Amino acid sequence: MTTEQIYSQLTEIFHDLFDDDSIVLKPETTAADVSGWDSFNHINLIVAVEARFGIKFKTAEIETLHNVGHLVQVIQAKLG
Amino acid sequence: MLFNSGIFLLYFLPCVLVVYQLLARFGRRTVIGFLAFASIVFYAWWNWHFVFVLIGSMLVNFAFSRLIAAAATPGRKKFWLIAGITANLSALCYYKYLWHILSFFTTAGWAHHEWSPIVLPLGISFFTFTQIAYLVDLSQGQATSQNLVEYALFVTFFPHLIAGPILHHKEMMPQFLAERDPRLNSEDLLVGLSWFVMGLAKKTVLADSLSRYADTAFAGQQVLGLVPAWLGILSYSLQLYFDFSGYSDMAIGLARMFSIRFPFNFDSPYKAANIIDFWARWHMTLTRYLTLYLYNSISLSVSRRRMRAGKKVSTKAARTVPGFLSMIAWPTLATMFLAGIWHGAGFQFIIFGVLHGVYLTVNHAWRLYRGNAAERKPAGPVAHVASVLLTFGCVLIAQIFFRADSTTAALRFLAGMVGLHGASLHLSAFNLRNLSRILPGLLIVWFLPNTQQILGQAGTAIQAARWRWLAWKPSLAWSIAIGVLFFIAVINIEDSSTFLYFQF
Repeated sequence: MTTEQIYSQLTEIFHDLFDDDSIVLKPETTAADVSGWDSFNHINLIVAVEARFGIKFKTAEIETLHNVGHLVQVIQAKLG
Repeated sequence: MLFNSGIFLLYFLPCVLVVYQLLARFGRRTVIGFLAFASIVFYAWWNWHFVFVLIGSMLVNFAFSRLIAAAATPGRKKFWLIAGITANLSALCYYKYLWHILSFFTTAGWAHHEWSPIVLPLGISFFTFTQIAYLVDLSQGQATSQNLVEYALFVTFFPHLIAGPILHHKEMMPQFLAERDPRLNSEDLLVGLSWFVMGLAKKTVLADSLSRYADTAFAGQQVLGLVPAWLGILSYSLQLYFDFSGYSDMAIGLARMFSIRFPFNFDSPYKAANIIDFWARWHMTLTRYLTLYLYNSISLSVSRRRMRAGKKVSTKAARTVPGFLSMIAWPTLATMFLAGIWHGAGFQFIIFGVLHGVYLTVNHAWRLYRGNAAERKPAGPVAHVASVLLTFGCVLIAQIFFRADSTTAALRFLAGMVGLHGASLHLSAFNLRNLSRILPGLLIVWFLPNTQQILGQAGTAIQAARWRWLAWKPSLAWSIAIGVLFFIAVINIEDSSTFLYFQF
């Protein structure tokens, strides 16, 4: 899967999860930039990403994924 | 050994700094070994019998870490991880809870034996938790394997050994192993020393003087009226904060003298406007630990199960009662229940934990009900003050259970606070004197910048312009100030004082 495809799928997840169609994802976007991206919604995000891409995250990885650029890299790595 | 003791300040610390500097020419492996050795001496000074518990725990965990690193399959890794965690928790349970459990059986009439209390090795909760985190991180690829000497330093490094901050392997060890000149650095020494002195002053000047009244207020079978009860809990609340944050400041300062940066543990918690924010400012490394290893694990498994069952996992789902209960209430209450128990083996600690669990759950529910954060107007000054006072009040109530000798004592104290044991507002001379200690304490925690802000560390800075003059710089004025503060702190040292968090 290409990076663009990952970004577009991720954007759909964000629009649905945060109930906000205006969110635009860039590599430097972090949890501080998206309103409502708190620890509870972070878990929901992780679970939604797992379901959509068919991958699994380890518990210790989760707290490192508050940055979209890094998240996309990790997703890409897991997709192989 | 305690940080606020003559033996530490006059002998241990200067010797370690000097010998460290002399050995630094032989490279970082030498100084790593030396610091590990010095840390074990530091621990053994308190009670040489228990240094064997520390060393034993370290060796057993090191063995498990080797087994995990060498395991060929994820299944095997998990097996050794669970074995390691079980071993650690069993040791912790033995020292912390066994006597309480057995005594409970005796009081309940199921056993007829007087058990002798088991002495708690100092810091066992901290070094056990740190090692469990390392095993989990190692099995998940978030930490690297290392040799015994490096591991020994990771676990025993004396600044954090006894009462934290609780550190991740990856935030401490790379600093020791980095390719850099291991010799002491003058800027780090200055900042570290200033940090240490500020922590020492918080402890000996503020916390210890407040402890006298707090101890009297919570002692024994007495019944307190309205004024003494409020003065008692306010004294305790300030004592606990200055004691623990002072200790954390000392720990961070000591590490900084060796050019090692520790994470912050406190960030003006009594300024928090809601309880979620409070826990992001109080004992931050414990909150981080509990969130990462407990809350996230529970929350993830709940959400994954919901997804598999075809249910929605989103903010909208969390606004429904079953969604809220399973995705927010349950993980929060479970985590805080365990946090309560970690603090101690009495029923009042369970209440403490569950109270905070309920507070947090209510806070989350309120946030969901209030809707999108971006659309809300920021709170006006009156609303802000009210929120801070409400949060502080909730924290005080939970602290009563934390401090009291038993649940009954806590309830009696609480009744006193509401005026059920006499509601006279008369202030005796004794009470006035205590009020005169409490008021400056409250002014400090509510209005002054905190230690890391004064020192201008790691992106923190003094926010309000009126306090900018307080910013630390390596100038003559500050040298004199730190020197005077150190002197005042040292002459206030009492041999009988102890850190509250040592009992954990």
